[in-house]
Amino acid sequence: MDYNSQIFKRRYKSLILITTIPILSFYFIFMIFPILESLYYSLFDWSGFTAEMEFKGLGNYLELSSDNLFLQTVWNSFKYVGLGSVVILGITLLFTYAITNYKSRKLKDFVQMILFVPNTISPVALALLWSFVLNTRWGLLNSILKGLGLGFLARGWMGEDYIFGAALSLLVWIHVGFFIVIYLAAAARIPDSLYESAKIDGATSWKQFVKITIPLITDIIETSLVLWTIFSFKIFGYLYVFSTGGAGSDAPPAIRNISVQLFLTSFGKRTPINRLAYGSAMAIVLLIMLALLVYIIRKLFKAEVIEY
Amino acid sequence: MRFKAAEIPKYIINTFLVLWILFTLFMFVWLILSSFKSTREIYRGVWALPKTFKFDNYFRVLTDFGLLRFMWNSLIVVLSSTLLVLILSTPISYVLSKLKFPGSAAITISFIIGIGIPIQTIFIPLYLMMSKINATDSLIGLVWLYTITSLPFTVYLLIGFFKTIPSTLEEAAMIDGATASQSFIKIMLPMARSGIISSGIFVFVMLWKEFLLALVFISAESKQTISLGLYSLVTKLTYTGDWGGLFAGVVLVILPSVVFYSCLARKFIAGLTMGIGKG
Repeated sequence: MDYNSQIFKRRYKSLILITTIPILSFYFIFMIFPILESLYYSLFDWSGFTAEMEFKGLGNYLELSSDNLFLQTVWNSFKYVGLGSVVILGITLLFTYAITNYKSRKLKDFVQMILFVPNTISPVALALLWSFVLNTRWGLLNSILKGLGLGFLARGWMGEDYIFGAALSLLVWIHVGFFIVIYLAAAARIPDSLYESAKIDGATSWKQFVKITIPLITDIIETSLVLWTIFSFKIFGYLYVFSTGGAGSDAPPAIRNISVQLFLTSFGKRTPINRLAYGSAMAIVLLIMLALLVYIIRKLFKAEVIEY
Repeated sequence: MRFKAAEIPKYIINTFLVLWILFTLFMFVWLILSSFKSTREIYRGVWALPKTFKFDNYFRVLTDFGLLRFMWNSLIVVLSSTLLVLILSTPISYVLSKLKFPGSAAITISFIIGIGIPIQTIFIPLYLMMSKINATDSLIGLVWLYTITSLPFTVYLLIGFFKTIPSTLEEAAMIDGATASQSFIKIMLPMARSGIISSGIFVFVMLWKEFLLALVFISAESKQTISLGLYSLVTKLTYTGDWGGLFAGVVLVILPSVVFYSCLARKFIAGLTMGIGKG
């Protein structure tokens, strides 16, 4: 349509105003403006529930830079980003390869559905389920290992030495199913004709996957890296609940990401800390680190854009 | 099929995938079987079947521990928020996908950025804002928060969907003298029905499992939603060592989601991948 025509202007102007202005104002008041408010609060010494607010400039940020517990959670977040993206995206690619080679549409749908299922379930339920599976005494994993005669591999998975890996394995199990859906949709849009000549040349399916499919879904790989980075920093429920199954205490520092630490600092219920201003400073740090990481990923991928 | 050495990666990967799927299925079977066991039977080991299928565990968590109440709360909150999100986001998505006007691109981008904003970075100001208007610990307050936080992604999904609908019919209607809102309501809405439903299903499932906002904003037990309710069960049931009850609780939270999802899996995945198709 010629949107610059007189008719257009007359007919659509009021529609545009009515549809955009209210939603945009809600959106800005409740989602964008609060970021600025966080920034403002982060400059004060304030519990959040009292009238007195003492300005301390960058004091909260200085305190963060020497707060070992916080630094550990920052490090953990990066560990989730790094290890998670290698393991999750690696497995997702392998599964994409396997599933795209299925002949039967029904089988494809079924496998995709089973893999995705965890993403539809409450994180609280999943974290509990996973802690049951890894329970040292009666958990499923140790029982299977013993049943297979591999009892020597059984471990106290929820203990200090393994808890980070245990939490990561939960995230892997869930998110492979999330990314596979995206990868399969991306692989499905590649025209068959591109594979024809490779087939005639006798290339194996693996070779076709590496030489044709992967290069053509690079944009989706980039998107999924960005998404996983965001997830690693903001994932909350899985990590917050995971270890409560047994211990009944706050998530151990070894598995906390910034998000969990931020919640515990601001609203932690078992040992109320209620440092809302300090928490706000964490929120700002989280946001800046995320923005930087996303920017870096985008830059890295910009070098190699493939068109077809 | 003949074995080919060159296809070895294929065999290895397929085996891995099959094991993954079997483990997932087996885990759910184990979960359901265990939910019928007494705590003592759970301690006895994975392979022992429950002696009798008693539903005690289920009755206990549903009524004594109020899981039924939490489900009802979730249903009310999530249904209302889903409807509200759709009502608010459909018209703006239509306008943003079909009309170019000054600022339209900037608005679209601002919504896409919104998808990436972690709730953790805004929940402190939101909490203070909501407590000023006495909307904390209130289901209506929660509906509003769910609506707002779901807006960006829903708008993004719907814009992707509206773009796939050709504008020819609309143009014809315009030539016939239909007003803008007439052509939106009479022509676009019916054609967009399946996309709107897909997005609605997606929003519903995502909000049904929401935990963080509920944890921050709801404290009264009578107002807890399903995730939050299950979380508060953990403390109570592990305190008394009632693992059987906890297994039943987890099943009761998982089962409705899985059933709902498996009935609508196609639509659900279509909703999620609406933006990926080319063009």
